[in-house]
Amino acid sequence: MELDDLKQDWNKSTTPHKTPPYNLDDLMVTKSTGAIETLKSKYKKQMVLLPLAATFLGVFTVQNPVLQHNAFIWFIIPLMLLLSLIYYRSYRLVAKMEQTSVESIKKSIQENIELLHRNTKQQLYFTRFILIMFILILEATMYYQHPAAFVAWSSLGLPIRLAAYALALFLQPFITRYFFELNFGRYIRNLKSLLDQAT
Amino acid sequence: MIYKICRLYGNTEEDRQDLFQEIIIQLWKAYPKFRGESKFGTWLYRIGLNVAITQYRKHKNKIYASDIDSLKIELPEDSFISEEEEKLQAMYNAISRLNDIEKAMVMLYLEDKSYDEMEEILGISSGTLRVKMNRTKEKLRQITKTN
Repeated sequence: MELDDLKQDWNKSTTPHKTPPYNLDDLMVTKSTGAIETLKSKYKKQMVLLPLAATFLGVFTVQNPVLQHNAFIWFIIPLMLLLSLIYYRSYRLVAKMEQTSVESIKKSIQENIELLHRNTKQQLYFTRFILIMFILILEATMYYQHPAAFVAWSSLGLPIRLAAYALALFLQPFITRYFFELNFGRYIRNLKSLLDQAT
Repeated sequence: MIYKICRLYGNTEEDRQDLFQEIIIQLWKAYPKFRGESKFGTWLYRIGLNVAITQYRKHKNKIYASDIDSLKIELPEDSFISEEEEKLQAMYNAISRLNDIEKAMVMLYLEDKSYDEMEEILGISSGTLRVKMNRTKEKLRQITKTN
């Protein structure tokens, strides 16, 4: 059977091409279950929930005289805000990838690969920044407030703590790459295989 | 036109409905930016195929050994399936074994798109497309022969 022989039948035939009676209004209202939409809503949820929780915790702490001097809470709040920034970045990445659908297939694949690679690099710098901020906040909290929650950590002595921070900074790129691979690895490999098919 | 894309890239009727929805949503979002630089059909194919190939990955890794519904052909009232429909169904099955880019090429070819239009949609030069198209036709010939 030749493809050319079927060209006429393809255009004449209606049965296999007939769209089932989908209700367009329903489809537009129903939440999409596609990969992009699922990722977007996951990131959006985290992006909104974390600052909300941080605000709630902040307000609650300010109003409660006992908690006001709890260093652990003041330590957690900025971390929650920084984490929500990570989710914001991921959300922006997915939204940008979605916008490439107006390009030709090959260009869209290339742009998506480029976006993901650029994002990996930025993510490495960004998580390094967050880790450094985490170390600074932790050390400052211990230096100024001597909170009971961190007694065990501060009793270790500065050289050991510095060694631990150095180890964390050393491991951070590997951990970041691992999580990026976990989230986007299979997708990047699929895009690369698609690009091979298109060349 | 959109459903043809869904038929080629969706494994089950549920998949096809999800993909159909995804394409409609993307078209809806992208329409305000449509400047008319290309034909409306070309623009529509680009978005539809992009969503199917690069964005819609759900269930992609699942293997459906025998999805009866997807193979079902609606019977006309006189319960007669024309020879053409049968051939078309066999061709659909053969096309489903091609890779994603080949599927898109075959579909555009069957839709009678010129190589220039195919280049605009797929982003592959028309020279390369001609070579690939010949290889794909041969591949389909082999698949249908072995079935």
